Amino acid sequence: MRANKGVDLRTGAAFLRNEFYNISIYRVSFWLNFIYTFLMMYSVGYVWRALYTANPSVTGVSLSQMISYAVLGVALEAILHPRNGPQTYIMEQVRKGTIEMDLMKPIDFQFYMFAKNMGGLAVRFLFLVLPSLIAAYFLFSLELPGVPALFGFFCSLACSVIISFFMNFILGLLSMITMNIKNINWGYNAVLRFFSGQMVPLWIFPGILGTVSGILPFRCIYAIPMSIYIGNDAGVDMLRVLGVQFVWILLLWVFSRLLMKRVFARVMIQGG
Amino acid sequence: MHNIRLYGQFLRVAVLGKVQYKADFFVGIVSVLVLNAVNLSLIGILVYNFNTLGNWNIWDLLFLYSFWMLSRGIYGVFFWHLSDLEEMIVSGTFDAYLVRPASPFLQFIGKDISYTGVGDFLVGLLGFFLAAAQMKLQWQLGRWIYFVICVLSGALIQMAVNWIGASLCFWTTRSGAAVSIAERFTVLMQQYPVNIFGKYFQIFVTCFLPVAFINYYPSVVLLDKAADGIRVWQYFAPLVSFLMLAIAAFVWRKGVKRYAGTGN
Repeated sequence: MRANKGVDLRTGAAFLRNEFYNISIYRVSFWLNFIYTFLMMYSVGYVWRALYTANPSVTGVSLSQMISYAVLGVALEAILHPRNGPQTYIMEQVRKGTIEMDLMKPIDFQFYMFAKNMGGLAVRFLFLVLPSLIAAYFLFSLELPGVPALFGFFCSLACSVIISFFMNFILGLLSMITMNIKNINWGYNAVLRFFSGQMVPLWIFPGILGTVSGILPFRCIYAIPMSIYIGNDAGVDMLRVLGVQFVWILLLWVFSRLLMKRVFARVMIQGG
Repeated sequence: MHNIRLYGQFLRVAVLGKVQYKADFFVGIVSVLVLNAVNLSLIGILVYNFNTLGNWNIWDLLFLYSFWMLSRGIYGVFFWHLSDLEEMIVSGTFDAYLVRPASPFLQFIGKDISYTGVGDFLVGLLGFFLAAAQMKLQWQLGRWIYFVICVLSGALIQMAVNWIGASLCFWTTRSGAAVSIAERFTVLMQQYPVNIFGKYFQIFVTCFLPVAFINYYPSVVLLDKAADGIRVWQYFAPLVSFLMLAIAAFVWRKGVKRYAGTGN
């Protein structure tokens, strides 16, 4: 039944390459995205500067740490925003009625989506995230962390990407049932913006909101790698939050497998 | 006169088309409310912790945001579909407007209305009265009139900016990416007082892309936020809106002529 691992990986690499070519076609929108990222970094930096002039000791981290955090939040959007997830593709295939073609491929559907998605993300990381981080280092006083924090950051970012993929994949599966991705995407986007700590760090959330944001998985996507980067989660704390990410990866993986099985059973009955 | 009646007819058709989908309407409104709640809560959390942002306290910021939402609501209801132009040109459906005996702009603008604007407008109204009550605003009639005019001109500025952006399709076919980036950026911008972003930025959003006249300068005037007295040009929001409209109409006219001229 299941093809051996070597074949799977080679197939994955092929999808990755394919996606690279797909994305490199749209050069204009790449440049526009770069300008957008630049403008956003510029303005979030100023927002934090204005806040810190009024009251420098609220967040418990220095202004340059805070600006690094905010700038990072803008830069990572290029790979972590749900619009780059597989759910749009899945919905499009469902709408056109060609999803069967994807399901019939002799490769695990989730792995297929993952490889396809990672191809796009790798390109976006190389050509959007890295250049904007370098620009941020020279223009917006992005701090460079020490080696342990940097290593932790990249480990954590890899986990973020996987968690973000699982969440988006689950949304895609749900869209197969509801036949509408727009509203699901919309609601998810809003919740993610709020509870991921992308714009406003979660540790200044008051009372119950802080507690809720700690329980939800959304902080795994932005807040954890970003906090590690600026050194707010160092040493044992760093290992602990990485552990939190691992647990969520496991949970989401199991859940998405189960959900996939159920949804596919349904799709087949509907007349595949 | 004839054009206004015609536009009214178009809108009636558009409304009749919309009310077919009641569930969609409610989901749309709810999602707008959620998005606004998220935006406002994030600002709220920041100001809750820091007390003030560039000398604007939480109610000032709510006023600023609500002002934007009121004008955005009006803009959204009538002009949200300006961004459809790209798709219409690519698919060729725009050509139908050129052969009918009515202004292409009127047909295009009358083809649709959007209810998400209603949600924005309601949020704006609620936020405005909340902020006004908290700040104990006592306005003379003149200020109320200026307020209403500025909300309308804010809507027109947003319309003009998007109209220009959409018209660029006549030259480039694709302008959606640029417009959506401008939109995402202004969404962040309009939530904060412009003066915190530094001098060059302020000059840019005042003189070149005058989005600061949508809600920032009217709020400065109405809340007396200028530290060293209000300058005359800070009252200019209505003038700016007419200027922008004139530019937009000019660009559109050129664009349609060019489009029709190449023999589609």
